[in-house]
Amino acid sequence: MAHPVTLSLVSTRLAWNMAFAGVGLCIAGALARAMGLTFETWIVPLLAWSGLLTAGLALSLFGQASRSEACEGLPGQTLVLAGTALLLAAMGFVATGLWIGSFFVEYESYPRPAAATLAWLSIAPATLGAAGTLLLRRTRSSPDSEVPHYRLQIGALFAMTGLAFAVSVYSASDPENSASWDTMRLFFRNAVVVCIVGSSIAILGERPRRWAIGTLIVLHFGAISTATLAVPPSPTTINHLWVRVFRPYLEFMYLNNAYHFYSPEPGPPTHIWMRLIYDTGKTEPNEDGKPQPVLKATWLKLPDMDYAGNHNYPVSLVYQRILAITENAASNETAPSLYNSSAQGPIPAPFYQKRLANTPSALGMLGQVRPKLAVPMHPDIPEAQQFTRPTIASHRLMQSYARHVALLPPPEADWKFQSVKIYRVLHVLPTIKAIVDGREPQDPLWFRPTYGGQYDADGNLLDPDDPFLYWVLPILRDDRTRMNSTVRNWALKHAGDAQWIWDAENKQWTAEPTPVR
Amino acid sequence: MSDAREPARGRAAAWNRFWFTPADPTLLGLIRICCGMISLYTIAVYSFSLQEFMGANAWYGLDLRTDIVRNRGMSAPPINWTIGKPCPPPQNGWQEKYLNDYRTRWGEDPPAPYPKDKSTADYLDNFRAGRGFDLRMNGLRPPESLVEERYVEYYSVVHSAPPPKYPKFPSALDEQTLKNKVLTNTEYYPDTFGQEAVDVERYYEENGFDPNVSYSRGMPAWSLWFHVTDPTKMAFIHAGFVLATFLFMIGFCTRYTSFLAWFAALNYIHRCPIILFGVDTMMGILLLYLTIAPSGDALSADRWIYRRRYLAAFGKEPPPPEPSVSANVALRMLQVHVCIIYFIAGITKLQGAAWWNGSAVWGTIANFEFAPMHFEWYMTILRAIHRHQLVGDAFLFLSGIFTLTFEISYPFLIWRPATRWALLASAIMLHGLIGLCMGLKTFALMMLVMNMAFLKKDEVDFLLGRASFSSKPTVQPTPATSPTRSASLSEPEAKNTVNA
Repeated sequence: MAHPVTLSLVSTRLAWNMAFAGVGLCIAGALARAMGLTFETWIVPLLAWSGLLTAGLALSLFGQASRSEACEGLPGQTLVLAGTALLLAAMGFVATGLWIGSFFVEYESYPRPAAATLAWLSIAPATLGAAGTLLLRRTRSSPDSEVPHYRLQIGALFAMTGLAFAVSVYSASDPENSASWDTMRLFFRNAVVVCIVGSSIAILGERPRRWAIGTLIVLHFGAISTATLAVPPSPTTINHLWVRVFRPYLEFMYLNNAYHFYSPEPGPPTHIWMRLIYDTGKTEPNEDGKPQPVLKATWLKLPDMDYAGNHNYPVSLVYQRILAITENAASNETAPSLYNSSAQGPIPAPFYQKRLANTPSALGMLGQVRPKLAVPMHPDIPEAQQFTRPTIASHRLMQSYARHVALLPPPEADWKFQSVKIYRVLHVLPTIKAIVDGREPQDPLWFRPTYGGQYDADGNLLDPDDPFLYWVLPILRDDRTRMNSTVRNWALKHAGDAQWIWDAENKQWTAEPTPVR
Repeated sequence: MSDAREPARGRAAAWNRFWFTPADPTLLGLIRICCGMISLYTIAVYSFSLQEFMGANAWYGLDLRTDIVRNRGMSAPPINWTIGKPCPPPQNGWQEKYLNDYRTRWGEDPPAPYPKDKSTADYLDNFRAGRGFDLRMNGLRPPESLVEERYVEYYSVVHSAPPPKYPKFPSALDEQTLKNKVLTNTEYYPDTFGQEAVDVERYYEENGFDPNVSYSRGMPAWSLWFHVTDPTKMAFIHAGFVLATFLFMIGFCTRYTSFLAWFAALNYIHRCPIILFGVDTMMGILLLYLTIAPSGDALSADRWIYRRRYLAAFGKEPPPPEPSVSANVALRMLQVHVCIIYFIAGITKLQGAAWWNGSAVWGTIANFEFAPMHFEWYMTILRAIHRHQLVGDAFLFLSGIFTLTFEISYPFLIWRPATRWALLASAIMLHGLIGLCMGLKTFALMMLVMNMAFLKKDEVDFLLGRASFSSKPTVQPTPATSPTRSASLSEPEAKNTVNA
């Protein structure tokens, strides 16, 4: 049968056939699931995804067709429309029941009253109104009877697509593993709601449709407004609205951004330096003559860029993404006090005592164990600000980074990953005067490394008692009064890198020059 | 009609005019192409690092990410002043006396429940005197055993607040051992009180609050990348996403591919949020609105195919794309959203001293990782501007003022004809400089695409006319009461129709 020229590639009848096929495929997938197969096999996801893609394609192709080309003489049309009406009514009543129940039921998975109210507002009036419209066929009284007929069919197609998603929720379930495809089941469930609401909006008359769309618009921007205003300091009411009502919608749709770009102030960027330590498989005798494994180490720096500032990624977008990785691990807890109170007055906290015992001033103190490594405190930063313990989120990210780098191919095939030392490095913004005076922004003295810990391949912190853990390991000139004095990178020294002296001429780190005898 | 009804009808009419007047879809088509190009680039670039960012052992490991998605705790502030409820009205003389004594001593009503006897009341008073808070403030009942007492004291020392609930204690807990222990937070460990107490502490450490006051657990993030980890399958799906985004960009089966492009983008976003920045946020917003909109009605492959079929069927050019209400709704939502973005971005900057004293802009143009400071010409310009302090300060201050003024005034002035182009020109300048001086090219381009929502029909025609895309002006939007659509009208005299 010829179909008129429309934006759609297919006739409306073919679109309907595709919709039926899509739902049929989804049902076939559900039947396969009922027979014991799960989404982990190939047949169930193939049927489900094929069905969803087909039903969705049918809906969109029908949607691009002309208003005047609603499919006439559709087989089973009455049944389809009646089924749609029932589905819409059922959704409306379920939403109403859930809403009422939310005030009485206290079950962890049950919607809370606030979120249930939002869901009810979004769903019930539209679906119940549309179901009534379908059942009463009020739109037949409209002077343009072709438009309502088209809208009824669009509504029915939306409902069928919703049915396909609903069936797929079952297909993707696995009673023996609740985590199996759980996030996609969440998506499917919400897609059912979207399809049903879309169906309602298509079926409703003009005035109720505008009310429904208007309500959704107000709720949508209300949600976005709470996301922008819920960042501390924020009013309690907004916090309540964000946490209890709008947050699930915002997070689902990735609309939770607060748009605080460079607010309150632009901050300095953060690098991450990782010292990957490998066991070469060889051994050598130690000071006592006992064999010890020969370890080799390499650096992996994020972002990977040379001194001139050229990154080593295929495109700038990848470089930007790496910068985001480093920034996400940069957050710190509130700095603790360096002193504890005691009956004798304030005494250095244990972590501060350990750090002080490993500074050059501790060398040669009577009764003090000589530290293996004596790192000076940064002279320009208050000591309280030199201890930056990462937040739990940052710490967990560093553990994840450790697990990631542990699986990277080693420099030599027979080397085995042993551990990684992670340093978070703040690149302090150069002052205006320094730039005007000709100093380079990538001068090593602008970098401020903090030791983040040594981790094994599973991300476990191996050295919680390291005296330098979470302390700044400065990059300093030996003589601050002379611009040409030696610059030492104590972070590199701590990492065991012999090349910790700055070669200003060649712009690279080198080993300490051997003294001439 | 009474005067009281007129204003309401006026407002309702204004609302309807704003949201439900049919709009020409040509602008949406242009936005679709531009957004599609940026989205295609953004998604295609994942080809270089799909496993590194989305794989099971990515930088943001799948185990960690799914743990957060499934278990992240979310706390809600109490509806009233405290989590614990206040004491109900006294039922007997003892409760009345207790209530009065508590009010006299502490100046406020006690949390529920009433103590059963005087010794409990004294314990509660002494606890508050020593700790500074009532142990019932989070809904906890007074302890009824030594174990519960010790747990409350331990928890209060560690967390500076009472627990909301007693954990299940092991039955074989040695009360004598507890009696002899010196109570400091370094002496007690949570495993003294059993596994549930250990779990509470672990949850507290990861989320920052007690699980018993958690409002919800988990977050509604979703992604195929949580469930598909085989690199070959991932590559196949990724290729499908790239193809869908390409088809969306060119406008093929646009109603379908627009949804697929949005679905694709959010799969990457939800899997690995630590690699995201501004372009991803804006891409998600724009793709959502383009899914709602008939963005394929114009400037699309769909339109091209339709035109060819129409020419074959009727031997003449088809009518221009018909205005539609859904096009207007999507455009208006985009416009309102852009206004919100700029306004919030502007007023939140006022919280920072650097934006007040003018030094904030330095933080963006002298950021080595973002700004093109590795180019000598850039450093030469930077040094030249700031060679004289006053000149440099004036430059920074005026730049900051420009940014703040633009962002804060945007939602008010963009709607006015007299100032619209000033704002659009400022947007081009601001985002052009963001792209140049801060390296955020894709973000800057995406923001400019969003600003295109404020272009007028004749301006779009002008742009397209210069690019020779349009052969005819598009129709004026009609204030129709019922929505109409583009697509075709079957000609009554049509003799040749295209077979499906």
